[in-house]
Amino acid sequence: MQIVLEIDGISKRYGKVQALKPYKLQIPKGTTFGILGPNGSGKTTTLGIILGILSSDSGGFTWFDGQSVNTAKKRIGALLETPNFYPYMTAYQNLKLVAKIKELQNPNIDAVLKTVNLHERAHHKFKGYSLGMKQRLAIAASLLGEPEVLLLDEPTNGLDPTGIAEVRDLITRIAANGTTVIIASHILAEVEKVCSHVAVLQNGSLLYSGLADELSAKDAVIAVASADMQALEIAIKDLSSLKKLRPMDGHLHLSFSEDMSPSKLNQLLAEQGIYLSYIEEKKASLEERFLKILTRDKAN
Amino acid sequence: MIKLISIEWHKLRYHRFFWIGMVSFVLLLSALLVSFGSFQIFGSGAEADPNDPSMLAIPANLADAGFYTLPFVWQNTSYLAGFFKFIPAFLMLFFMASEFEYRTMRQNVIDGLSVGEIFFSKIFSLLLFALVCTLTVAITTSALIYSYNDLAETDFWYQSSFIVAFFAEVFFILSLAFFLGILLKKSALAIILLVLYYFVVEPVLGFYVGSPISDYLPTRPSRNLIPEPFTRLFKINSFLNIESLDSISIKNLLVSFFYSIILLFGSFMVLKKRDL
Repeated sequence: MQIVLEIDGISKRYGKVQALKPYKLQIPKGTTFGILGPNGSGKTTTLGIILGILSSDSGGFTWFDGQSVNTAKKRIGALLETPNFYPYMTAYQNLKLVAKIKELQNPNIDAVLKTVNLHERAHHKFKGYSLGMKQRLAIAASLLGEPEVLLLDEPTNGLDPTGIAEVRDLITRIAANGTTVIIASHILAEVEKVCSHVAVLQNGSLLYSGLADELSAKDAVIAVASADMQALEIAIKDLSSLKKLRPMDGHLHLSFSEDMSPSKLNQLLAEQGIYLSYIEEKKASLEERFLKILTRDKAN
Repeated sequence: MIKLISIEWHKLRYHRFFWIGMVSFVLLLSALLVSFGSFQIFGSGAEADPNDPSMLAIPANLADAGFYTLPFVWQNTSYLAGFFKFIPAFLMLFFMASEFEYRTMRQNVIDGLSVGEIFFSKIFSLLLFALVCTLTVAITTSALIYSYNDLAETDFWYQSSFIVAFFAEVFFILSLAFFLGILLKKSALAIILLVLYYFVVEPVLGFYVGSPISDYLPTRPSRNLIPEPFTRLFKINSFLNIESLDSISIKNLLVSFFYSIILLFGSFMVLKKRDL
């Protein structure tokens, strides 16, 4: 599995506030990766650091095969917080400037403007745009040059319900083409609907990272325990449909690629002479899981 | 390099303010330089009295007084043009600060420019502004020389080095504006501070520290580059008839460039250190 971005212990302090505590994270190629967290959790700080507009107090990060961040950025389309454009230029002129910066030979300006439904206003000045149009132009800019990685911070900010649905569709379409998409958001539904992987941040700490399936209701997670945990683990690893195994809170959290009910699992293990002392099917929605993770962290 | 120039030019060419500022600067300055010679001199038209040596002929206007006469004309025009250097300086400062106000510099970095590349693209603007100013004065002055002088008698280029001094003066004020724009990120605040510093803080400071230290305060070398020509202009026809030529102090020229480089280097360091 190729890694597009490797974060290795970046952190950021603003005066007395530790905005981001050192953490590690790998983003595999071709995934749709959601970075989830409430406001002020360190999402934008993380994105700022990996895009080179904020300096990290510690650690480092690697894009692609260790390319310099400025070279790497030409392969990345990014939308960070508010859309920033030159107000006196038209949408077309603004995108042309971005294309110059990214050194694109034949920029697909008309195509991306069409994708976000701005082609009819392409030659109007940016300062006359509504918030939703500005946001759509920012998405168009991030799509310029068909980047290998798309990095979107709160991409549906300021959009109406139709716009939100369109952007969600667009992200799914782009991800289906093999583009790695990284989405930072505090809106769970946004991440839940499109992301294959999720990382949860709160108060600058990474609380969770892994498959979104493990967090969401679609694929339930089965938690098991037995007197001999080692034997249990060996037996479970032999199961061909096992997708993921995570030790957590003294249990093993399992997810399977095929349908697997607790009773079937229990039966399979019993056939191998392993008797469970604990079994639970966890069917929390992403939202519940998310809140759980957040409250668990607060309790500590 | 070409890429950076093309990026910066793209930002400038669509800005109405850039064209209004530059065109009005060029037109106003050349119009002033051309019409300045026809300004009346107080008490003009008096005839010399052969019986009274204290009664001298007063020329009708500044052109008659020798404002456009070689070799002094280079110094006269570039000194006068010096008052206009604040127009490009304010433009520079405005462009610099608006990159922060609209967070576009941050966006440029997100899109793939390094801070160093942005810095050098902005240096292109600075050089462009300085060259437009210098060429305006050089071309207008050349035209005036052709219409007011007999070139068979005098050397066209003699004393033309004042143009270099004018370039240094503009380059310095643009560097100061560049630095303040980056440091303060707010154009209105930076313009007020620039004017306050140039016209109040440094003159007062200079008065307190006294010569020779005052000669080395940041804006002083650039101010002293082109000596004030009017005193001499009115002495030409006086009974003493002294015609001493002013010259550019190489020391002022070097110190002025030195301060400009320090300001630009400081701007670079601020940009580099600061989170965008």
